[in-house]
Amino acid sequence: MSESGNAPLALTIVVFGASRSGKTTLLRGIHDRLGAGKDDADSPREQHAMPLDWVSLDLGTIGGRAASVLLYAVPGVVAFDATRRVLVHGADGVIFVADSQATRLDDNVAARNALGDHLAARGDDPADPLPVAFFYSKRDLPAELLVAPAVLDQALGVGAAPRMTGDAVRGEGVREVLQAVLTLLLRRASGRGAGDA
Amino acid sequence: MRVLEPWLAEPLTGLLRESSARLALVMTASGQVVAQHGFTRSLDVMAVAALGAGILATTAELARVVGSPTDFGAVVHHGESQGIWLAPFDTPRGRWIGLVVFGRESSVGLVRMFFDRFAADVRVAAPSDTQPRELLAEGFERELDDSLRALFGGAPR
Repeated sequence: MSESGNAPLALTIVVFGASRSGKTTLLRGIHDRLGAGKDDADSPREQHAMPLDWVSLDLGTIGGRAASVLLYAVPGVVAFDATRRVLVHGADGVIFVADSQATRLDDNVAARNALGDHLAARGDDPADPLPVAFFYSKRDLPAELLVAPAVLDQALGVGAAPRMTGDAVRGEGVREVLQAVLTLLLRRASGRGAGDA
Repeated sequence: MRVLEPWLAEPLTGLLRESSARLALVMTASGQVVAQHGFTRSLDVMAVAALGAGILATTAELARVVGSPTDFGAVVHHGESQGIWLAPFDTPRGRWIGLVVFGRESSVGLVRMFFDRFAADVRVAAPSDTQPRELLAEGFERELDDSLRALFGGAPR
């Protein structure tokens, strides 16, 4: 935490999705790959510890401001809907994790609808919506178990939002979806608009 | 004491001095730390901020579910040797949360009184936020890419 200078940019991203869709695995994928580009001496273990379902990243200086991001996995169980609402209310961006298995399609759609309700409750300006990126998990499973990404796109109403596929256990697509949502919310924070290219 | 913005130092110093608090943490409603005093490990600060924000978010949601017209306000845990005061307060920057840990040398009433004064001092001292968003310098997307490559590994572009 800096003590003066330009106001730091502290960002909060919630990882939303159905129960057992891969939210915590995505966070663990991020956590486990931290420091892959640094020597151990630059990556103190304490800074990267993952004591709860959240991960903190120090992004360094972005656009002239010290930037950090906290990622929280919201409970996937419907019984915790109130908790999910609270977390989405305080978020700067959302990563929606959809389970790629065909048998989980209905669960994904239910979670997407719940997210839509929570986003509507925030009362954001429709012209300036909260950035959401989609991650289709478990793409490493046998193809006969999976639903095509295009089907998920349609079912979840992805539209023009960023969408990545991958396998969080092996880290595939993890950095990409994080970068996609961070880019959107930094554009939003900069006043350039999430949709501006 | 560490503060994100210098104008916070004076109100927080006053709260600590007058209430004899041992530890203090000021955070946004989503748990982002704004100021702290007394914590020695960054991990503790982040965990306490997340847990404190979670407690208040939970009580606010509980209030909504049971039909309370307002939030329940402060939450106090009074242990044998020390207590915790946790309360939201409104600022020109939005709703913030204060968490104060106090011992036998202080009391709930004392903390409450000086916490209210602290909240009022913050409202007065906070610069008016007429610009809701501060522009980031050009090139921030490249810097984000470089930062994530440094964190996760990967060849620079």
